[in-house]
Amino acid sequence: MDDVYVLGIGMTPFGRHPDRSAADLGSEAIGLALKDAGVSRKDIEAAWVGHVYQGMAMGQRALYAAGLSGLPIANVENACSSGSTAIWDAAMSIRAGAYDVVLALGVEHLSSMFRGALAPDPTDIEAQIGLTMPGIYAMRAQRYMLQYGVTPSDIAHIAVKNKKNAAMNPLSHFKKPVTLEEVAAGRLIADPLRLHECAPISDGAAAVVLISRSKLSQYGSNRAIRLAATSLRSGRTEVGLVDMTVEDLTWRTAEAAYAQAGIGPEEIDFAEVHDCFSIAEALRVEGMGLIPHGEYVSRVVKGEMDIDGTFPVNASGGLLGKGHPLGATGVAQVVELVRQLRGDAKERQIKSPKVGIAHCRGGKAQGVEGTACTVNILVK
Amino acid sequence: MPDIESPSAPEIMQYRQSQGKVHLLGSRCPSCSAAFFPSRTICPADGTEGLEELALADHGIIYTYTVIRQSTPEFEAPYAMVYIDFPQDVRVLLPYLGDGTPVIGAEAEIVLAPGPRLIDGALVLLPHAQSRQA
Repeated sequence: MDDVYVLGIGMTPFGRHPDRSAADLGSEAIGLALKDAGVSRKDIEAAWVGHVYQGMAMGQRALYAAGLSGLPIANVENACSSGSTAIWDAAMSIRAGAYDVVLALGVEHLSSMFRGALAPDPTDIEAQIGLTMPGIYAMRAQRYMLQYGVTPSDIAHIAVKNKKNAAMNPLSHFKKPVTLEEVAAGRLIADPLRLHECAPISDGAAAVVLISRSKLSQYGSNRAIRLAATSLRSGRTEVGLVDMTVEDLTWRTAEAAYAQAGIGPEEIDFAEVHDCFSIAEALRVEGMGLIPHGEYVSRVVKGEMDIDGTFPVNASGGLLGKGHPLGATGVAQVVELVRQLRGDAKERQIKSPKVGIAHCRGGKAQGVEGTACTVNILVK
Repeated sequence: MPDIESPSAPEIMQYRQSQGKVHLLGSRCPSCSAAFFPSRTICPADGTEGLEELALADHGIIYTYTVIRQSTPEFEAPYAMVYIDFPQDVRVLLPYLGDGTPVIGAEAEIVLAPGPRLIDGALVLLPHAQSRQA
């Protein structure tokens, strides 16, 4: 089985792009990734494209706009993990020996599809009686506060940290830091979560070029970063009364990635995780076994997860700050890991990291905690 | 008083009314005893097919809650929602009836009340959880 490397990365600015199409955004990300990788269009043997609400064959439209046609293209829908599932598919094709140079793209023009709160699929009973995505996480936050003795203001530190990081990321949706007081003054979306603690509706695209180890020497790139693990799992149907502050899906996905990479949680230097809501960041990092259950929020308050802290989380700004164009999010996380591991993150550069982890998960279906989860581990 | 089956429209949540009490209708696996709401035909725990109907108790404990203040146009916000832990080891999401904030750990009974769902501009009759202290 051939090792997989990330050879090139590309990402558009995240935010509102009322004058641009999803295909146009996708095309820009592809162009940047090809240039960064130093490969030409004809080198790309196959492509996987993650998106959620963009309709039929979005991937083809984006690749055509970027001047690529005729190659195998597959569209991937896996809720908020669509982009990272495209990476998983692309990496699997290299491991299987089918291809050597492939593309994974994530793209979403969400602002033209949605306003307000996202809800689970309307055929689910929970959605039919009023559950929203912020509502799910708000209810988990209530349990977290009760079980671990933290306050809404403690949890709000996660939003403050991520928006501070986003202000140092030129591609972020939000460019302005917020204070604790500003978060507390934001309107309540679902108690205890307030406006700044919910990821925005964003448009954007991100792309990566993956390459096999055997072909890597032909491109002579010393900027390639090894994709040591890529894992994908789905939520298990819950039986009985489970602890809603513990993410079984996140743990099983991370556990598979640790086994693949031969790397334990104690060897990870930094993380990009799926902070669709402030509390979600705590559930993810604890869920992956990186921090003991119930400790994350108080350690964020102490500054341990800041860029200059002991374990930086969401240096990119995360979904809360950088933005959350659903299908693009999982790819953008890997883009950030590569920038950090290359030492190219400029103002928000973490001090000499060697191993980074990206966690992306999404969706809610009746009877499961989450529908899809991916974990990628990158090693310098 | 004869049992009244749940109204056919809208069939959002299956329940049965009996002697003034509301029982949600789920299912139980005859093989491993795992219980589910809404009802399923195949047990996700052990793959058994043909699950039996299970009427949940008319009461349970509030596991967690929120007040949803921003929703989609099909709902009249704000409204409180709770997860109720039933004695049959099933957790079910329900809208909450009452003015105060739901209290985690408090006992709640299941009642029928309009809201928060709107269909053709009218609130729909749905099972709700109501705090026993209320």
